[in-house]
Parts: sequence; C-alpha cells; structure tokens
Amino acid sequence: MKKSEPLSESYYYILLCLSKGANHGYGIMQMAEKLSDGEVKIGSGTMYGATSNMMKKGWIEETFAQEPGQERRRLYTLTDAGKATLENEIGRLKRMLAHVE
Amino acid sequence: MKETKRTWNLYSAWNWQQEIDDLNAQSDAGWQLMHGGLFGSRFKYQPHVRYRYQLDFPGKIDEMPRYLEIFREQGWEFVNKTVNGWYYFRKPYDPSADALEYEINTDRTSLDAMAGRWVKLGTVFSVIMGIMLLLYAVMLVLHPTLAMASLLLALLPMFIMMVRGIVLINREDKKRTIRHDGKWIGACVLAFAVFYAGFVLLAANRVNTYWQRNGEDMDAVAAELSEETVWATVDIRYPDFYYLSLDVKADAPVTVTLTDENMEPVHVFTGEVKKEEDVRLWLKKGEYQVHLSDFTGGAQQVGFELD
Repeated sequence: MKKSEPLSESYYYILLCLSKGANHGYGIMQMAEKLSDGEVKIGSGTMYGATSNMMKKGWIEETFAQEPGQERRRLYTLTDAGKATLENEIGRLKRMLAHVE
Repeated sequence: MKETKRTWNLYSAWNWQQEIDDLNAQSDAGWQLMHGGLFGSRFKYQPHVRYRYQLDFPGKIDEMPRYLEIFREQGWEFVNKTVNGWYYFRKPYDPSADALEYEINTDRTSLDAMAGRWVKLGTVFSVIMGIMLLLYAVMLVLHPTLAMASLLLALLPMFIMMVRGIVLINREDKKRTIRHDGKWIGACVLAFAVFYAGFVLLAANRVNTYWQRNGEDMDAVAAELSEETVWATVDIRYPDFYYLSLDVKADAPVTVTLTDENMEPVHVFTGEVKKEEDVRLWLKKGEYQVHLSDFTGGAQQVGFELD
C-alpha cells in the first residue's frame, strides 16, 4: 500500500463533509463543526488555503449550483482521487486505533 | 470631536498580531478602521458598533471572488488590501461568542503557510541585500569614499532587521509578538532614508571632470607654457577621498601640479610619459588648481581626471 502523508484535521473534515455530497464553503465549515461535536472550527483563511491546495492536488473540484436562483453559488465536490485519499486516511486512523485496543 | 483620524504606525511583517490587537482596541474605543496601510491607518468614529479585525497574507490569489466569498460567508467584511499584499477583514463583535469565531487561521498548517509565504519573500530580499552589502563593502575597501560608507551604513540595519524577522517568524507564536517593534523599524527606515538621501546628494556633488590637452601649434603652446599657467580649476564641495588619474605623453618633460587654495602642492608629476590611475587624495572643501609648467616644446598630450 502506498504510504501517504497524514491529513490535518481541517483537510480530513473537508474531505469527509464532501464525501456526503457537494457543498459550499460555509456549509462545509458548519458540517465540520457538527460532525466533530464542536471541536473542529475551520476559519476562512484555513478554508481558502485548504481548498486551493486540494484543488491543485485534484482531490476536490469547484462547481456552481444548478438550482434556479442559486446559479451563482459556488460548490465543491469530491473527486475520485479525493475519495481515495479520504479512504486511505480513514484506514490509517483505524489501524492506529487498533494498536491501542 | 473629530469624526475621522489617522494613526501613524509601523508594524513588522512578523508582528501582525500586535496590529490586530491595536485595531481591536481602537474599535473598543469607538474608532473603526476605514483603511489600513503600511505606515498608518485611517479610522472613523462610530461608537455604536464594535468589530474584531483580522489580517491575512494569502500570497498570489488565483481567484479573488472565491477568496472573498469564503470570508464573506463566515461574516467577514473585506476592508482593504495593502500594496505589499496584506488583507484587512472585520466582523461585528459579540462578546458572548466563542473566541474562535474571530480567528481566520484555525490550524497550525494554515498559520505556518502564511508565515512561510512571508519568510520566502523576506529571504529573497535578504539575499539581494546581502549581495549588495558585500559589493558595497568590497567597493569601500578598494575605493573608500564617504558616500559609499553612507550607503553601507544605510543598508546594514535594514538587512539585520530582515534577517531578524525571518528568525522571529520561525519561532513559536508566543515569542513572535514583540511590543514596540514599530519604533525600532521606524528608526531603521529613517536611518536608511537619511543615509540614502545623503548618498544621493553627495554623489550628485562629486567632481567628475576630465581635461585633455593635445599640442598642435607647437610654437603657440610653447609660448603659452613657457611660464607656469593655470590650466584648470576644480571646485571641491565637501571633504572626502578623491581619485586622480593622469595620462601624460610628451616629447619633452612637463610638470603637472595640483594645488590647494593656499597654493600648496597636493600632487606633482614631472616627466614625459606617465600613466597614473586612481591615486587616492584627501581633499578638503575649496578651490583647487591644475598647473602645467616647465614645458619646453614638442608634442604633448596631458589627460587629467578627478572623481
């Protein structure tokens, strides 16, 4: 198995949120806070840097909403490469957790 | 009471938290930022609102609408951008809200990335300044002048400050903020401006003249130079080292003398063929004269340069 670099909390939760469906920036920030029970708050500077990096790596893509009246809303979607990265990270965390038990 | 005011402040790039704290304190006192800048900021008196401010240094932004949208979605209002790439944001302040609501870089990765962007820029400037300092130091050793010494002294504190900044920004956050940093930076900038202005003025006032005399009408030249003559006058406007170059080719010996205001010889050459380059002379302020004498005839060519 190819060893990949561990993801930061912000990166992990952004990919996790997008694995549940396309979302806009603020939606991702809100979902990340909810999924982490308030532990993870992603600030705007962190969000911009993370999404820019992940788009360059090909893990996420930018798109625009299709719903009438929402066409200008910017959305992010998970790519196959991003899904694989997330699955790798989840696998890594599970293996590390198994060593504890 | 005035409705607007202007503050004059200097913040180092590694001390952005200090500027944020000062902006928040201004807001608590009723002064809201209208425009943030390199050397100072403009405020408007609006005591009925309070904001919390943030500064971002994002580097090259490929898509400005996306960048601003991400901030806007989280309630941040874009105030302005400075020429050196710092972005000012503000958000209405609710004292009961979580402190993290007013942070924009919420993990170590993005904070280090922001610091790293400035370190990269700072490193480039430091290398360029270091090379310039080295060149000026070599030139000062080979060709010492007050003007060159001024420029070296002007650049040195700026170089030290830049390197210090790179070291500080790589430290832990708690040691990064330095109070009263602005005064030290202001002193460096002022020293640089004063010395650089001095260098420009001194360089503009330096003598850089060249005379050449070629003998054509031999009898006329011989008659003219049968006694000592003042060939040229040089006005030295400030004391410093000056560099004399002499190029003499003559059929018969000729004497070239540089004298000061008291007619005391500063430099004398007698001979037929001579080439001197960059003879260093300390000249005081005043009028100097170049004399040609002892010429007995024949072809002669005398080149004299002083800078």
